[in-house]
Amino acid sequence: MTLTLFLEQLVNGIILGSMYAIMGAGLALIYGTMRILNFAHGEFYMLGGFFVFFLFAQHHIHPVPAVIIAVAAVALIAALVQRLTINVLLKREGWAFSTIAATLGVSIFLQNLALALWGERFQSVPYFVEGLLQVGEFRLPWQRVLIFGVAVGVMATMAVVLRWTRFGWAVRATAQDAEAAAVVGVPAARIHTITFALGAALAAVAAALLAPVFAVNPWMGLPLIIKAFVVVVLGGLGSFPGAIVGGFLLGIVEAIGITLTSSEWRDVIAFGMMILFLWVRPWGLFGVKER
Amino acid sequence: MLEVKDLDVKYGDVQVLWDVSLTVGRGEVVAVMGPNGSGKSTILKAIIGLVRPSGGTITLDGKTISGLPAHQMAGLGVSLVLERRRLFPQMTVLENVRMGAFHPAVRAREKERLEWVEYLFPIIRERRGQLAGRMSGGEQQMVAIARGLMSGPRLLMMDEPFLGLAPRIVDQIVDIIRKINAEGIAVLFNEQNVHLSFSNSHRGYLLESGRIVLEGSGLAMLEHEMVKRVYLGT
Repeated sequence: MTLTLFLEQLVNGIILGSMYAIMGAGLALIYGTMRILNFAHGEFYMLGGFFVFFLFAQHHIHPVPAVIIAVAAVALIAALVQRLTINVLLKREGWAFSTIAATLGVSIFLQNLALALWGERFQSVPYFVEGLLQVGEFRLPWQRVLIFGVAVGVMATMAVVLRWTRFGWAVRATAQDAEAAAVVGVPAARIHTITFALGAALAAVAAALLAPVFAVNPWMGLPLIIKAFVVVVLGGLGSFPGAIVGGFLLGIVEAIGITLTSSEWRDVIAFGMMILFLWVRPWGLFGVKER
Repeated sequence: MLEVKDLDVKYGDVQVLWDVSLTVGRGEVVAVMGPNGSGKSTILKAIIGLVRPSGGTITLDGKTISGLPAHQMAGLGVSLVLERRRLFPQMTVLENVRMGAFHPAVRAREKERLEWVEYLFPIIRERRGQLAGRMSGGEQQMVAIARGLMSGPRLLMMDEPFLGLAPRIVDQIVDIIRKINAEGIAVLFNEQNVHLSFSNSHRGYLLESGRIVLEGSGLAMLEHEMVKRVYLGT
């Protein structure tokens, strides 16, 4: 194997890792604030993909507004879903299980809705930008550079929001102690809705960027949500920075792993790593051991 | 100012408070004393809106507040320091304290109130960048009280503020209660210890198995036969 090939694989791993990170971060944000596992996360991703397909591929709207509209639409739908299901269930006993059942139900519903609306065929979305970035022998499609740039930008923005804005403080406070947050005046229910929408929006961003690389279909969310679960296990359930580090780690390990073996081993490597983590460090890289 | 009348609270099918009535006047320090599991915390949680009463009324300056969600209470001038501090462990001391002024109605005066609580608790300025979860229990209690004061409450409620603290820290907290009260803020606190409850309050209540069984001035409570016999063993 040449050094260039290895470098190319590494770069691909980092780029795919940025997508895992963004998916995992959405899931972690939702788990962190509400303590629920969102099994519909993959379907919010899928919706993002279809909205971009609809706006950009079918109606030739410029990719920038197309992506923004797609992400905003997914966030709105997610907010509605949260209000109608999770918000109601969280107030009742047995919410830990009922929310899993509810998000699974939403996931199946959205898959079938997509199937009814757009059919089962794989739909392709053209690249937003054509051409290759070439540095010496090293080549990289501009689309992938774009994916990475947007992912890093979105994650940095999220980190800044969580760290320095009033909304971010409210999210962190609610995540760490919901009762104490309520007492100082944080409306937990509203924070939950917005956080859920934001988590889904992150999935939609990933989908919008990946739609041209992979094709769009009703089941496209499945492989990604499984990877997102691996990512949050690596990073520590509910940890936003953990999900980001976990995402990149998974992308890089997968990429190096398949250059050493072959691409059929990709999922074996991912799940092997997850099982290893569950074995030696079940609370993840950034998680805290349960009290 | 605060009037709780015939308060009943149930957790599921289990009733934990029965016909609890109590008042807190303007600028008063009131203690609710009771053994573990008598329902002390539930009274404060019902007032702040963290648990829903099944009966009775809670009024503040004549206006009914029972049934209001907890996140609106800071705006009405009622603040609660939860049992065992309950700081946001992964946030810094300063972030924790500033969260106390989160409610939109009190946000505007955050700066001056921060100066005030930093004066009351110098440790806040010294440790502002430290994660709250890494502080000792006594230090955390100071930060928790400071957070409770950031909304500029007229009534500060404290759920077992002395729990698990060293005697030296307990004295400091007692001193802080006096200072806070001297500024005209009413204080309602819970405690299991007779002396801590009634030597540091104007008036007190004795709660047993979810019912108020005795009330009176702090001094009268300390001297009361029943209190002496049951809780002091004399």
